[in-house]
Amino acid sequence: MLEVRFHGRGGQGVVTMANLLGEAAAYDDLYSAAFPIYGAERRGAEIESYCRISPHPIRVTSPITEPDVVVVIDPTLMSVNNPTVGLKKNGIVVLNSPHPVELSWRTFVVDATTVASEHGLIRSGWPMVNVVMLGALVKAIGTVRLESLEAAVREEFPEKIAETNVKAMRVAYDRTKEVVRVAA
Amino acid sequence: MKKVMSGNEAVASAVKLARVGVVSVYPITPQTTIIEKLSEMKAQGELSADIIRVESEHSAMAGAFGAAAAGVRAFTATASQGLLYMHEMVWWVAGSRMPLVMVVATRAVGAPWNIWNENTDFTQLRDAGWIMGFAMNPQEALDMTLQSFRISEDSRVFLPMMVGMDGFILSHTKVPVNVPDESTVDSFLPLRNQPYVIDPEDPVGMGNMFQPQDYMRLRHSIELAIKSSHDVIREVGRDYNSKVYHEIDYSTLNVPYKVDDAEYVVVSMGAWSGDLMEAVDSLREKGLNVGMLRIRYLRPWAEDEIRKALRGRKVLVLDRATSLGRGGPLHLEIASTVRGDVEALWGTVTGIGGVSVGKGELEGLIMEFVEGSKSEPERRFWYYPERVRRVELRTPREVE
Repeated sequence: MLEVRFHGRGGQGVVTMANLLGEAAAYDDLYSAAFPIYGAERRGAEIESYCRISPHPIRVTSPITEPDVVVVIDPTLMSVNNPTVGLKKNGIVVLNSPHPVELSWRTFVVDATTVASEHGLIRSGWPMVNVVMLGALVKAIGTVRLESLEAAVREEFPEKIAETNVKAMRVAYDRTKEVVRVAA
Repeated sequence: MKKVMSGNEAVASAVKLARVGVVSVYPITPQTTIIEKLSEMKAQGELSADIIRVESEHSAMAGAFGAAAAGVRAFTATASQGLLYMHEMVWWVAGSRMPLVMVVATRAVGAPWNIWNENTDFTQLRDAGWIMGFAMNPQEALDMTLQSFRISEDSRVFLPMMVGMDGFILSHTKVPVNVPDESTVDSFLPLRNQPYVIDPEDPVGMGNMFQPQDYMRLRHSIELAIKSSHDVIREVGRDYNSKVYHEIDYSTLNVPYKVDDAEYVVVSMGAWSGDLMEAVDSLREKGLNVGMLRIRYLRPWAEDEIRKALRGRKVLVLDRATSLGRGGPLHLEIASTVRGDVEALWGTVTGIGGVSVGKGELEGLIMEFVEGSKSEPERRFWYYPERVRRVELRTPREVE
């Protein structure tokens, strides 16, 4: 079973991200369970959502505390809290960042904020990076196909928004790079 | 067809497939997305039901009751404070022997304010005369909602039925759910059946003053109807399995898991039974003979099934609900059912107000039980998976 934990802020579409990944997994004949932590969610507050993917039916229902993959869609979260807490030793970090970041795990970065801005993905003055970052996630883990994710996006959003997101997601997929560590 | 959806969406799909005539709605977290989804279906012309928007949960149940009394399949959903506000009508509908269906997406009860999961809002209604099922995953939420219309409308029952599911944990978790097609459901669910209908041509008295003897007989009839619902539920479950969906066995009221050769059995209800199954598997790999009995029906209470499954074992009962001063309601029910027929009986209250209890915590709890029950065969306690942090309160409390 693959356990992915998403970190962002209220209003950035973190819950939708987990749902889309789960729906994409279904297209690839995998089981999934996607859910958010609800609580004091409000615009700007730190939010977590979760997605489990497995070839077998998923029975576990509790929040993911030892993820295989952590996706951070708001770069400022890295300094204000600790999104990598509990991440497995051989885990993966997928990060929205304008520059390479060295962490103790395999790390993939993409400047999703720029990609979203280039495609006019702005809502209430915020670049919407959630779907964009899913492109980066698929590049990093390859567990679901990009086409499946695109189908999930098309099902979730109205046609025009979906197409823009799909385009931006592909660009993010291409621009995502693994950061090879310089420090030992 | 399998579709990825949340527990709340699964319930809305079931309501649509059941050809419900009236949905009486008032929002409350975490149930709200059920009625949002139904309203969306209505707006898109997929749902033929009338949606009545009311000003409170008391009226939501009154609206559903009125529609049901007029001969229409009716549905509502609520949780927590909403269910409490509805309380009077909940009892009234059962006393009126009126079939209808409600889903409760469980949530803690205030004060203090808390929107997270716990089952006390559901369990506190166990004396109200309803049939009470509790789902373990979104698939069961859909299946049991569909079955509940037929159980409720069976002339051997003629009682309202509520289906509980863990708030957020099931109501908001998206998983693949098998959604049957309309013709399949039509072959399983007949047209509505009920004991009496409001009809100007054939007037009946409803809920009038009853003399003591008559009242007592009527209450007794509810007791008997709940008893006869055991067989109805099994029968409806078997028919659902053969006509609609067979991957979950509905031929029993409760669900044993690896109980046959178990020395230890953990009793649970709802979503965390999934985590518990994982814990059972993991402990079995370590050589511990442990199993699980999942309660799917709180009412009727399948005494014989449960006594048979637990006889001679060491039993740990998990309660995500409270009967304050007496521990948890499931523990009380189990204790009165097994009556000394077990080697050990522990009851623990945990997971209250949204406290997360997963596989790891459950394994720890079971190990504590295995060791502790050697010297202490009976125990009742509250289990905190993590250290309790200190909160400044002006009320007295023992827990630190």
